[in-house]
Amino acid sequence: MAFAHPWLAVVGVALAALPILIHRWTRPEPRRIRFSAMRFLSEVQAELGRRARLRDRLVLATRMAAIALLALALARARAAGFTAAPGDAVDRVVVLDVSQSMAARPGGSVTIFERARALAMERLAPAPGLRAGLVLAGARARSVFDELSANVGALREELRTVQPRAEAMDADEALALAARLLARDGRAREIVVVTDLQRTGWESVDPGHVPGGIALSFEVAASPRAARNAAVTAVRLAGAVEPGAGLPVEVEVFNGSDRARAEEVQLALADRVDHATVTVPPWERRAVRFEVPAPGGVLLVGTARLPAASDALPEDDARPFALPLARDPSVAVVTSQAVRRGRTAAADYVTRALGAGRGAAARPVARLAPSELAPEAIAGHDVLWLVRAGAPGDDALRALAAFVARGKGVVAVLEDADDASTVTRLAAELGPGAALPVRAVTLSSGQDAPELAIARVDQARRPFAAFPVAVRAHLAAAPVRRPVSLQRVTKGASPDVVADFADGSPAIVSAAAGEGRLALIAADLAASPLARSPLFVPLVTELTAAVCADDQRVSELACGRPALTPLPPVAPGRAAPVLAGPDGKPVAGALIEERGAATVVHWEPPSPGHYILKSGDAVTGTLAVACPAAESDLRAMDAERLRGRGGARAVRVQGDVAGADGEGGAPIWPYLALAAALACVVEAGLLAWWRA
Amino acid sequence: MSDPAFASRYLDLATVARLARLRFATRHIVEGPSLGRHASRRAGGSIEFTDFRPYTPGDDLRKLDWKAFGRLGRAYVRTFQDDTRLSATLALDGSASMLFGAASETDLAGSKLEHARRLAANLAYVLTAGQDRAGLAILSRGLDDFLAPGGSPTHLKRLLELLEVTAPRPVTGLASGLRKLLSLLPQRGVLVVMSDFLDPDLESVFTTLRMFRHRHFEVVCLHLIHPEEERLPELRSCLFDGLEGEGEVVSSPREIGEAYARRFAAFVDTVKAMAHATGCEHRRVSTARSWTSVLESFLVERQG
Repeated sequence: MAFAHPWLAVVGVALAALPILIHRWTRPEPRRIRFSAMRFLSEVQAELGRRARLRDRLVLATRMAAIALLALALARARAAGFTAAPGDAVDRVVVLDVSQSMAARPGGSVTIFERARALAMERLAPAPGLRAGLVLAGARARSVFDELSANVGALREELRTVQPRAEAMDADEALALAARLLARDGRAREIVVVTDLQRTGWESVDPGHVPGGIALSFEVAASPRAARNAAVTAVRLAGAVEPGAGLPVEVEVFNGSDRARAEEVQLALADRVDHATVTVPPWERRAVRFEVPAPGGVLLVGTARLPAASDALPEDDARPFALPLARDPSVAVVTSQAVRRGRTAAADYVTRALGAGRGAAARPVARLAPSELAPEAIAGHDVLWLVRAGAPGDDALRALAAFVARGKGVVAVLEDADDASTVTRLAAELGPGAALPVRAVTLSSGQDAPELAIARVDQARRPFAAFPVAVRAHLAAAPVRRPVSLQRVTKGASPDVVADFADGSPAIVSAAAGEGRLALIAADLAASPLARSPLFVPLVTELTAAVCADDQRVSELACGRPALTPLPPVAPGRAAPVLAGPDGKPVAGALIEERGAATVVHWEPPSPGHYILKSGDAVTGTLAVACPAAESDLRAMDAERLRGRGGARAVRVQGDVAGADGEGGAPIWPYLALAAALACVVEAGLLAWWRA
Repeated sequence: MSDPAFASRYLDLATVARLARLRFATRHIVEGPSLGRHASRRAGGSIEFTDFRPYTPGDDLRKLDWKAFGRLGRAYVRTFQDDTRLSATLALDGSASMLFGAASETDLAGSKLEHARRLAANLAYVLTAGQDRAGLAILSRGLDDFLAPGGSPTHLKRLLELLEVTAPRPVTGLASGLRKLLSLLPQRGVLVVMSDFLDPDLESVFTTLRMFRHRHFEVVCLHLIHPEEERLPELRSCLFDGLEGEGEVVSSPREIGEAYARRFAAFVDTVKAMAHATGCEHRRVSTARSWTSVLESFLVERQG
């Protein structure tokens, strides 16, 4: 048996002797009486005295039992239920959830993390034969020691000082790290996860990935009834600036409770504070809209708050934001096609379409030859269109890959074998970061390229999200000649395929590649009616925006996730960038070489807030770091679901959570409390029966 | 018999004066050695005049001497040879259980024994004052002391002295004492047993009393009971120490009081039933009631 408050158990069991002591101390001194009718007295005493003694003993026993059971219940007894018996040689890794939700304070009492700390302390109690490790599970899993150690005192010392972080937990990484620490066989091996079993953190975790031979159990520190919480979960631009109107900003509020709540929302910018109220149904999100004057810069920076929220997790009542304001991206068309009078090449169609869709103040569309594909030449652009760019050399391909990997966009028009080869090589150069759902296949020689209409589009995503439903009819009237086909490499539909031809093959693909995006169009634009249709300009504009890093720019970074800042080609003497936190102190960053191209800096902002990126004295960017929105939903998942995902593995879940084990690890204190109450009832019943 | 000139601590003048008019009436025909008030077994009665004695209510008016009444103005009856004198033996239980109720080990006031002594003393006076004979037997483990029935003042004085010096004995064994007494009482009479009957062998006691009845004795059982042995005191814890060396019992009177009271009441009923079954008269005498009222009511009831 284990206890949340062991001292209570010791004191309570000692107090169980109190009824006997009280019985002895309060027993009256018998009065001596010289008596005549001793025979009758002895007979009656013999008959009733036995019963009275039995009654006294039973009453004393039930009284002592009630005290002891109540003490054990108050000490929150739980069955130990672990595979290793005390004294066994056991290797144990405690995985402690340090995500933001653990800082919740249900009912104003101790935080979930404090309960978790106590549970982890129990699991790291010194014991003969125990070697232990402690993994702090946040956005990244960190082990206190690289190896298991018998020095549990050091682990406990670290445990005393650790605090929850404003991060979501990567449970898979934490379990994998714990399993690596337990790689050595030969002893009983255990992983004990101490967590609040938050639904959003554990729903997708598969305990079956933990290697066999390692026992897995969960100590749940939260209660099945989720603590009440309210949070600002997102801040976003609700649209473009309308002439004469302000900038629409939406603040999304989450209601983590069983009742609808009206929340006051405050939007604080540099020079103004706006207020609004929003009513949110239980366990849902609702957005409230603000109209603010458009700032002069490229970012709208501020903080959204719930000033009057009173809930279990106040850390998520405020959310910093840095919203990128829309601007025309800088675009270049990389093509080997020269401009010729009287003949419009595919690159010409693209260049014109790009120019037509840009604002008057935008930079003109650049045109680059494939030989100009070098880091310095393309660093200043946001999007590159590859139209008949030929087969770039290795250096050019690496530059292209680095361009995408560092958060820029490339749209490749697949017209010939070189284009197909370029895409294939580019995907390989990008590596696992660019998991394209398609591969480019050129026609075999002698085969005519078909002319196909685009028959299916994904209107939930760019580029077709801005088009009306009637776009399909227009696309049907503007077929495309397709010399290079795209074949799916993954089973089932992929969200990255945003348009299909009538024969079911992908027509347009828009996929993430590293920090940037890569879009493919299987079309001979010069020979396709599509390039001459009214659809072409908005299609090109929207496709450019779809791959534009600016548009995909994350307005906030989840705390704990690394921030990668790509560096332009470093000129000698140029100062390295510095990321300064909300307190003004610099955040340490590490320069990372990336495939021989320019370097990136890896930052780990430690806490939520606004971080300023400076290069010398110039402010080059603002980063808003916030706690992941998923941490605001404090509901715990059903332990049965976790067990069900474990497959053949036996997963034990102990704690006040639905589906927790009923034996060998389940909380038994409710039953002890019930038994204590029953003991009192039995005592009362005994006394009443004897009186009768 | 004139009022006694001596005083005993068991007799007081006020009681003696009130009891002077009462006589002990027997319910059976007795066989007495000498003339007395009681009807004789012999038919016809005696023809020989013996003496005059003052008239007391209940006397046969045919024996009233009218001439003396006319001459003296006071009523006298003539006694004849064929009137018999009652011979009563007072058997007193002198066992240690009779000490229950004593104020202390040295002060026996309030005990059943003191109550019995007073009853015996005054009853003996009534008997001798009525021309009857009174004897005394002290019973405990056997017959400890015996004074054969007599009627003279000297005899009464000896009886009272014997009552005063009687020391209680530790163990009750009435049956053997009664059997010994039976052998010492040759003729019929009245046997008054004053006891708490806390004898382990009641069967033997009443078998012996049945033998008295077979010899035509009138047997009266005065069953002495102290209120505090009928109902235990309302205390949480007591150490009961047996008066006759039965040992000690620690008990809670509150716990066992009801059951004990029922048990004791059943004992009293048993004694009564056994007495009646053997033809004995049974009278329940509580020491809570003054011995004077007990004796008075006893005598009055026997008067008829």
